[in-house]
Amino acid sequence: MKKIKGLCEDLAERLELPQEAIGGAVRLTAVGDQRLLIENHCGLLAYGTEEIRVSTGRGQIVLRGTELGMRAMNRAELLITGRLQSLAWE
Amino acid sequence: MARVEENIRGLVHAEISGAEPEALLNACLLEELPLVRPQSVDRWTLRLGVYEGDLPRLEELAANCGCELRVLFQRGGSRMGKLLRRRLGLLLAAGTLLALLFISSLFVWEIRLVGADGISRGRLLRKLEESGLRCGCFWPTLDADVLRDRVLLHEPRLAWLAVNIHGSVAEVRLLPRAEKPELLQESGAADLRACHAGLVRHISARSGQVLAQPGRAVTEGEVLISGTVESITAAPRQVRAQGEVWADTWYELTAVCPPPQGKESAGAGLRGRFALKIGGKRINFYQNGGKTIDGCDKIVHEYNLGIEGLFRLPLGFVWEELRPYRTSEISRDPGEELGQRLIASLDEHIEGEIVSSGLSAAEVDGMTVVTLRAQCRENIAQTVDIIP
Repeated sequence: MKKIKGLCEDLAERLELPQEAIGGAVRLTAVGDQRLLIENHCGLLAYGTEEIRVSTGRGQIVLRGTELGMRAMNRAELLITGRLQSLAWE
Repeated sequence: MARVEENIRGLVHAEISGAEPEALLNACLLEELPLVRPQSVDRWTLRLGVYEGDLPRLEELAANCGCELRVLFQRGGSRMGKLLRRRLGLLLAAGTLLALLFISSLFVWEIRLVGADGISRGRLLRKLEESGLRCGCFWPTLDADVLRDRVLLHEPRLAWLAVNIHGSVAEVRLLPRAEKPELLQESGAADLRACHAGLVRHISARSGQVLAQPGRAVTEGEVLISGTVESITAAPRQVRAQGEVWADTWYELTAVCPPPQGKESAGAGLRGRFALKIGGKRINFYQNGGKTIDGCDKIVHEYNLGIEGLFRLPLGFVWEELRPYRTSEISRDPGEELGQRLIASLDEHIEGEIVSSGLSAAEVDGMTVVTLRAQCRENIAQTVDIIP
């Protein structure tokens, strides 16, 4: 599965196509420090008001802040609101 | 909008506790189970909202993830339905009221005329009624163009009208026809004749042959400046005489006024009468309404149910106040007031000024006869066309 994902990413890079379209790479869209949309995620690993960990398949995104919460969610997208202070890949 | 949806679908607030509550969240994501405002309480506890219909699925997923689900409270949905079923009568009444309001708003219950200055309001309302716009008519079937054409056809003093419906109020905007201005004739031969007998004091002629001389008395209709100009070298030619002829004139005006009437003052006692208005009908809750009550002022207060500018219901009530009054003698001389009105009337009538005036009053058969004698200085020249 990982090989197929890697192949897709290589193909996208060679064809100069967006990786999130073919390879399913995670895509983040932040609006200021109060709203963050995560697309192509692979589920939640931890959920709290000060820290949210989201699995990306290859690692995890760690969001830190205050009053964090999920505003909307579905299989592919997560909309996180609150006061975002830091964002890290681990 | 989200709140409305939550109230209709019913929202259950639940608390999830377990070793990994995130696992339940992931399961919900995979199952596309919508969750409302999930909040983390601590590392092992989550609070979230779920729609009433999705609760069994959530319970099943919670059991699969090894979490414990506890319902905290519920809002809307079946709970609200039960609550409303208990107040069925209230609901029916509210529904009926809303339906009546909607049906009522399809009928015209008030007609407002805007811009009807100088045109009889009653006549206009009658014409509108004949054309189909009356209190209680079903306005969606009204054709504003046809209505306008019909009214304009029968009311020549109107130039335009427009009908706007606001709720149950029909606003009729009227534009009266502008009077055709009198054309000033600058061509054609004309004489200047005296419009009133008097003693000529000053003549200022711009064209024509002057016949009157200062210091000479003239009679009404006499030619002051002639439009026929004599010439030594040629035949007489006709022009349009122009100028001003100022003369002293005398007027005697007489007017009769009835004997002094009593002055009204508020008396003791106050009565009221009540009537109900339904559509165009009126139900009086008193008898002998057509009789005039002597010694009483009648003040009518009308109240209509509705919201001003939004809608109006065909219901209302009328409260008539009957206030008795007493009469007392007036000490003021009525002849004096009449004399002043005569002077004002003369001043408005003449094209000049009142030089001196005198008033006299006499009692004839119980009536006061007031006579005004006034000397005026005015322009008595009046243009009269020469008919060939």
